[in-house]
Amino acid sequence: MTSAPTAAVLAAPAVEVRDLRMGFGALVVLADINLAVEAGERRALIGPNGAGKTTLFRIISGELRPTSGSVRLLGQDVTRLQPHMRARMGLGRTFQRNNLFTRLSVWENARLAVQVREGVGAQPFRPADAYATVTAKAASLLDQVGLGARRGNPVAELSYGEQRQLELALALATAPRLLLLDEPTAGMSPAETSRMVALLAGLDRSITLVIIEHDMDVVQAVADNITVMHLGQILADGPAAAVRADPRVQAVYLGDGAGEGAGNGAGGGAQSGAEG
Amino acid sequence: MKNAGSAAAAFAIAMLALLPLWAPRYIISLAAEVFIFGIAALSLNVLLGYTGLVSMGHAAFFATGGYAAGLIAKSVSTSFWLTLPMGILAAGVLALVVVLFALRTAAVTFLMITLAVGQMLYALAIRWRPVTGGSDGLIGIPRPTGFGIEMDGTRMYWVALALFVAVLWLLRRILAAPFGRTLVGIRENEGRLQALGCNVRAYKLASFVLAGAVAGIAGVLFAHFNGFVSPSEVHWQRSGQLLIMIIIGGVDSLIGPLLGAFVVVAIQDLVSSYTMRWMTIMGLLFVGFVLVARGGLVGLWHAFVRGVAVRVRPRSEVT
Repeated sequence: MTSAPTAAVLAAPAVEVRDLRMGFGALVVLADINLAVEAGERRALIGPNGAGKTTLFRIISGELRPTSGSVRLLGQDVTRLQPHMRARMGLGRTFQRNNLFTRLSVWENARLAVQVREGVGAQPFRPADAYATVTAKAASLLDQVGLGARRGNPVAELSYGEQRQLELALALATAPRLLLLDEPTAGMSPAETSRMVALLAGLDRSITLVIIEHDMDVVQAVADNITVMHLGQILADGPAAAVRADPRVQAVYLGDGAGEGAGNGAGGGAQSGAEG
Repeated sequence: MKNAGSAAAAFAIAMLALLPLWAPRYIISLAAEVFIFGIAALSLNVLLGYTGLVSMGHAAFFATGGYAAGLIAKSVSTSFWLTLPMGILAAGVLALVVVLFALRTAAVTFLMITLAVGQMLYALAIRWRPVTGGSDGLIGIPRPTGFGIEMDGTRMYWVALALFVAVLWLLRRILAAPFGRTLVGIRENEGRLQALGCNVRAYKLASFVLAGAVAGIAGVLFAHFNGFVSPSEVHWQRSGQLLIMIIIGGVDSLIGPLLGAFVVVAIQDLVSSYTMRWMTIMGLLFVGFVLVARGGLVGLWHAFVRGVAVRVRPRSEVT
């Protein structure tokens, strides 16, 4: 069983998966995953490509239904709940590849996200910009992620890093209690990365963070605890320092320094990262 | 800017309202037909242009409105205050039933199911002779009455114009409001919207029912205006024609479908007086727009305005 040693067990974990298994035909992507992230925790999920990290995110958020096992969100079993219902319970997420309303403006993206959260999405008569709480929130979100000056631009005109920032703004618009971030700094310049790290580190502790990240500097700056996945299983988890020192972890992931791509998933077998 | 737009719109409506004072009778009836199909195309564009759903069975809702109005006008009352709401209701209810089935499937099958349901209703319109009049259709539908007067040709034109303006105004409001922006969000990226907590399915359902009900308005007008409704109004070719109107006019706008309806109705009238092959001409035109003018007539207009602006600006900077 897993537990987060740092957090006192005051309330139900923000997210808890039990005996989770995911297979596509003969291919087993996740096997016997047990994981609990306490409220307020910052957890990094690391592991070579193909380890099943994004699949786990997709199951937690409801895009995929697991072959077996259960998902609990804020103490409630959500295994059979639709994605939008989980979002309403307080689950926000960003995507590995930018997943935005590309042909709309930055402002429309933010406003859409906020109007869903504010429950005015179905209002049919007054213009969308006439809802003061929506526009105020959308504006402050864009300021928070540093896109205040770009609100009039179509998303397609933003740099990749700016689109990552907008990803985060959309996720924050849902007022999440649990935020799943799938490689938030991938493809960012060093300057953009450090801004993103500062932003994440500054998020209120009422939001629980689970972050998939390959950049160990980002992991170190943001995460309290680390879970290492490899070939569909959890290899180790615990406080960041302890996990980094774990020899098994070093063998598959950290040991050869390069990290990223060390065991490029699919066929590799147990020795995939061992040659380093 | 906004006032200028409203003034231009008011002027255009006034000119159209005055058309019967000088235009020959057949122009008036052609124009009425443009407004009727304009409403139908507009309703379909809520799905195609805004929600991003392709329906190949939209004529079914148009025809249902027509059959409902025709049956009521023939056997219950010719009051427009009865035939119009009942036509809208019948089309809306049918749309609700269809969409509940169609939304259980993915996008491509959505198209196929709307097509299949449309053709089933086409068969029903032919077979259910006692009610629908079979392949002859429902004939001898009287003109509607309202405010104690019968709406003859010219009055019917005004009714069609008024309803077109009302529908255009209403849809403009709805589509600029959060509801409409949500539909656009679905068109652009429904998975993301769902991840934000939006019940995408409910919105698709609502937009389909809205589109069906508005198509019902057009059907009611069609039935009263022509005095008949026939199974060919249910046929998929009619649905296809509505799609062609939108694509020729411009998917990204609300005025586009009216322009498209104008082009299609005018070509049909013009060409069919010379040759039976008007569908061929229509098809060529459609292919031409798809190949070189994806934005339709409205898109061409925007491109033209931009072109003029680019040419004018440097000169004005010099002076």
